Amino acid sequence: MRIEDLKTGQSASVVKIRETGTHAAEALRLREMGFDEGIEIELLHRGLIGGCPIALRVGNNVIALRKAASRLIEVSVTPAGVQAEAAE
Amino acid sequence: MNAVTAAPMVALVGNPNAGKTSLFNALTGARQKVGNYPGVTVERKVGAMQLPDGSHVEIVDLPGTYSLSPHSPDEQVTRDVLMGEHGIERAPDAIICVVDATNLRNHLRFVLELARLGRPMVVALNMIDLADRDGTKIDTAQLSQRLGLPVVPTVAVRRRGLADLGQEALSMLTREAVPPGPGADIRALQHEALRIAQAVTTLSGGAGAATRRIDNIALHPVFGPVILAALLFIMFQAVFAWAEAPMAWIEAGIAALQEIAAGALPEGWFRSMIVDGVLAGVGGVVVFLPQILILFAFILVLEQSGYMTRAAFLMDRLMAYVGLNGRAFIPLLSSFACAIPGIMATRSIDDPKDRLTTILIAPLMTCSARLPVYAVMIAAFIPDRQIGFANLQGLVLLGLYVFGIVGAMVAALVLRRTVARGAGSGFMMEMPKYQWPILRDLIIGLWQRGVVFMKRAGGIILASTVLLWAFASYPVPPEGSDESPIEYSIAGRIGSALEVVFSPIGFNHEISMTMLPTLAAREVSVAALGTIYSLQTDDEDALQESLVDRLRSAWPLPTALAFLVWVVFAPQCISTLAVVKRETNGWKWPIFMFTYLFALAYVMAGLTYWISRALIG
Ligand SMILES: Nc1nc2c(ncn2[C@@H]2O[C@H](COP(=O)(O)OP(=O)(O)O)[C@@H](O)[C@H]2O)c(=O)[nH]1
Ligand SMILES: [Mg+2]
Repeated sequence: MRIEDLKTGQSASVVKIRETGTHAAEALRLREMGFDEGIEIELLHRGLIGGCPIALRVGNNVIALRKAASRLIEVSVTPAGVQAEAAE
Repeated sequence: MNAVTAAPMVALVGNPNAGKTSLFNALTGARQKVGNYPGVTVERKVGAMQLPDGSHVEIVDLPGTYSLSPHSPDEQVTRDVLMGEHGIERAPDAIICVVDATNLRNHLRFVLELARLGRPMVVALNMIDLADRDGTKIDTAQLSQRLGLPVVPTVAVRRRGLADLGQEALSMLTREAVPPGPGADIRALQHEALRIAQAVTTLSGGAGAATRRIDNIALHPVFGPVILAALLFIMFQAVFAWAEAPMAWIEAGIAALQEIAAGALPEGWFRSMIVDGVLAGVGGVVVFLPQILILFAFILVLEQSGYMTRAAFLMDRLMAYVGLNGRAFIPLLSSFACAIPGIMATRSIDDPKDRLTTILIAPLMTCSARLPVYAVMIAAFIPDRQIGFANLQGLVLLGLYVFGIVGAMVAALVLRRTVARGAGSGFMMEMPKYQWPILRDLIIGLWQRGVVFMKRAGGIILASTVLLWAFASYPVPPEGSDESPIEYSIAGRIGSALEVVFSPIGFNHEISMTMLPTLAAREVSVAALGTIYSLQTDDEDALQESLVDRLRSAWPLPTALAFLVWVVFAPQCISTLAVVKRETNGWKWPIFMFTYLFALAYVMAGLTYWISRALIG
């Protein structure tokens, strides 16, 4: 699912970062900012107008970005319990 | 090492906000600005650092970057220096990589990338105090072993770990660089960093709880913008209210100096130059020092506390409407103090078109140099009347600020569709943890601004006021000439020539005469009018009469309003043009900027003149 579809305060983990073609530079930037497959993110804040930009917790960091860039990131919501089981 | 050549060079590198600048200050005692805004370190900063063996190394604070793939001019510099491909800077003999201990995973990725360069390198594990506070424990020995690099825990702001860092840097200098390894894919680096971070971090607590709580309010969709607006309101209020008293002292001091000089010097050209030229001109500028310092104090506190990036977040959407991004907010806010630091701060904007547009509109933010002009004109022509809660004069001043901002937004919109066309690169940035501003760093920052301003007053402004005084005094008309001395002077003749251009928009002879000197600095325009009017009369009483009264009796209202609007948009001072030339590498953009602002100011002032004349009669 897309990051913008998360509820504020909801966590998810990054499944995939689209980095083909015209998105290559932006995707590289996302990785430099700490996005990576498997990383846990949390939607912290949204802008007043059109819910843009958005602020995310990425690991221990807070990153602000626009919705357009966030669409390169595919996330999935994993309930904490399931994650813990998977780690067992 | 060769002792005959220059001192070895050590480069400080790291992600933005790792604490490079703080560490640089701590290591060198150098005077430098410290901020929280990613990319605040935009200039080359060098200092000398003493090593434990008593020798010195040259230490360079490189702009923060996330990787060696540059996205902005800032990052390009860092990459070029580190790769040894910078035209001017030599390659560093050793690297100190500064790492934020609370954000190990992401910072280690950059360490791993740097390590592949093969240059001798030390890791400064900075902000270890914050990691402790969050309950995160890092096994330094193991980190060092896994990286194959020395690791020194530091707390830059408390000067902890500096001696160890110096020791390691010293041992690094005896080491030779090895040939660079193959560049790695960013994903491989990310995974390696994650593995190491997980292995050496033994206890991880819930990080940044305080920051989170503050952000819940500061970035709240409703309260956030309200708080930002309130902060800006308080800031501008303070600039006027707090500066009032010190400005009065400075004015009184200058008046006293003028009196002393007038009494001590013999009548003649020299006395006239000192009293009417130098003291009147430079004094008229120095008076604004308190306002500039107050404005910068606010900006520095907002930067250091970490709030500035939140302001950028809140402003991004509005900026997007005119084709800019939230990052432009910081340079534009600085431009309210002075366009020069504002334009320099645009170096952290990644996209070249975004950056160019921001540079081109920065002079439309009302810089403090325009205040004296506004203040005199408002005092002379706007009645001091109460309208509801507000004072009419205050409203007009606010209106002039808003006028500049709206003008800038419209200009950005047009520029983005014409000369700076292209898709924006978007907006992406890290929001650092909130921090209490450090008083020492604040004072260093203010001191630097104050010095820059006073140098300007003592340099270009002093020179131009003396020049103007000379132009306005010479040549002296021959005995028995019925032309007044000022009309006969060079300034008078230039003014007459320019009058052809400016009279259609209602400007009189005196305004035309100020046009040339005003290019030196905007605030000169008040000093220039003062010089022109006091030279125009020989009558002692009229000399006493303040400029405000003079203008009120000499200028029709439409002319005054047109002049005010002119000042809102008019081409900026020469120093600004020089900075634009430097930042854009050529004459093209400063010339463009001058032309578009001139046209804009001319049309707007003309409209104001003709419309107000039609209305007032
Ligand atoms: N608590 C703490 N704060 C630090 C430390 N080092 C730097 N800071 C603060 O972190 C912020 C960013 O530091 P700065 O030197 O500007 O980072 P740069 O972008 O790498 O140059 C500033 O507010 C500093 O006061 C540290 O060791 N401990
Ligand atoms: Mg810095």
